[in-house]
Amino acid sequence: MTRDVLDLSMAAAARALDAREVSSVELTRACLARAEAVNPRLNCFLAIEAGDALAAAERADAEIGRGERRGPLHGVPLAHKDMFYRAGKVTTGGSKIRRSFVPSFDSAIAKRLEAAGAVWLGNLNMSEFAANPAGHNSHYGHCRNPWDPQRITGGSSSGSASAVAARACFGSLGSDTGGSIRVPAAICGVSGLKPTYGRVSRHGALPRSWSLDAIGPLARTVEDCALLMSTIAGRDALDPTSVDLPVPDYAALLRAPLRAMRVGLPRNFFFEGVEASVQARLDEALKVLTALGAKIVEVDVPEQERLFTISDAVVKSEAATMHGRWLRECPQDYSLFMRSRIEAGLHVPATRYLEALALRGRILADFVKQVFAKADVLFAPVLPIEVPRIAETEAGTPADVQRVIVALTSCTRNVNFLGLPGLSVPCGFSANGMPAAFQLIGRPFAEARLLRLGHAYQGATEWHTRAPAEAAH
Amino acid sequence: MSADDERLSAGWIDEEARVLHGITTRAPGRDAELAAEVTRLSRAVLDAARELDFDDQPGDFLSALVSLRDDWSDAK
Repeated sequence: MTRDVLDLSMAAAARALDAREVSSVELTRACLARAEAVNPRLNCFLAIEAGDALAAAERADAEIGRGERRGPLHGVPLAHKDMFYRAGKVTTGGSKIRRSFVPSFDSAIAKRLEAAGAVWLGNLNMSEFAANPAGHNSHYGHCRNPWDPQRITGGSSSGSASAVAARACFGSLGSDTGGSIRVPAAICGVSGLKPTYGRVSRHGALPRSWSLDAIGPLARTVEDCALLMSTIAGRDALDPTSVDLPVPDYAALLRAPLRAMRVGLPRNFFFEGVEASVQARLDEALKVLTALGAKIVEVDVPEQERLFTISDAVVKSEAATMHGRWLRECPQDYSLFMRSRIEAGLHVPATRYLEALALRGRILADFVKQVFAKADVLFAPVLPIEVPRIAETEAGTPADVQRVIVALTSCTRNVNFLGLPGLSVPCGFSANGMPAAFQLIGRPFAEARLLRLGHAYQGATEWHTRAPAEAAH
Repeated sequence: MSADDERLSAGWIDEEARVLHGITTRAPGRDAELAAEVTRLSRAVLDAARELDFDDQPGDFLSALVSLRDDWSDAK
């Protein structure tokens, strides 16, 4: 191939591999070269595994050469948030506490990617223990946004979004407890899907909140996310919270007709306080969806403000349970921010925590009944503000910093409490020149529907093809 | 906690941390901040449980998700 292979989407790279127009070794070498070039500036990789990756690529080429192609990810170079256990490989979780932690077993994600023949390029930076929505990491250094290194990447899957945007890998898996896939995807101008709770096994993934965590893809296109979803979704006997439902062929379903899909536009909550230039991009996206045949219907969503706080009570209670031993034994090894995000959970009464969980099904049923009786999907911002500078999330008064931090997940966190799927799709650039994105939220297990609409949008626009200057180095 | 401006005392939080959790290293003023936060979190749950008529029957969130799932068969 004469053009730069790093300009290809994951799906295009897979097709090129299938057609023998490019080899896995070529793709892997290109990604490794890009990763080595950008990492001094972006700090998106915590570990680059060049030797192992090239060996895996050589095996993939040999198998493909024998006609033993395992599927669309076979030979495709990927890199992942540093939280998926692999036997014998350090998995830090972005923390100082686990800087030398070596798991003794493979996560479900690692096993599925291995079975699919994907190449693992290395482990990506992330917020400490997946807890900072700005994406910062004081132990390994902040990951930087390739669109502007002075602005945040979003988190906690910061390295995933940064590396995908910089074309240093063709896709990545991250985790999302309150927006940790969707927010960095939006801020770095890539696509990201938080699947329904229970759709993807979490066995061997570093937890933050057992009730809210979801693992999902970040990639350049919605089609790429569909390819990754088909590989990672499904029941796993080792994760009792994974659901035994058939896994659709998400990529095949992308091309189904929209059939006047009803897109719900919330009258309340989600659009309150949206900054003008972000709102302008969202309005433009709605026009595109309308032109594609979608029908826009206004909907009222059940009360969301209190849900944000209830969700916080659950996250903090579960995180404090997981971190209790380390809080006692090595509290100095936490960043101040991380410790402040979990400590309250030690003191939330068990009765309140259990009430919150018991209410969850009822709140979900009310939400689905009220919203999805009128709409097939809900349209919302990912974040209501323009991408802030790093300084705005670290300096200033505590109240100012807190306001920005809360705003980052104000449109995403409740989706986790409801257990629903949410897709982040880039839709242009706000007034400060940084990416903007919309979010599609669906009924439980509506990933195929979200991906179908997002893919149709990307077929009519080119925002997802824009690359930061950093991707040309 | 009968009024909105009531909160747990910092002393309660400090004692609970030391006696129940074995944590003794908090910065000055942190217990008061946590007292306010824990009160806010707990009251939000309590108020929701009151308003939604807390159901004492067994429940399973995964089953709720499955029962409310999208019929994506229309996309086939």
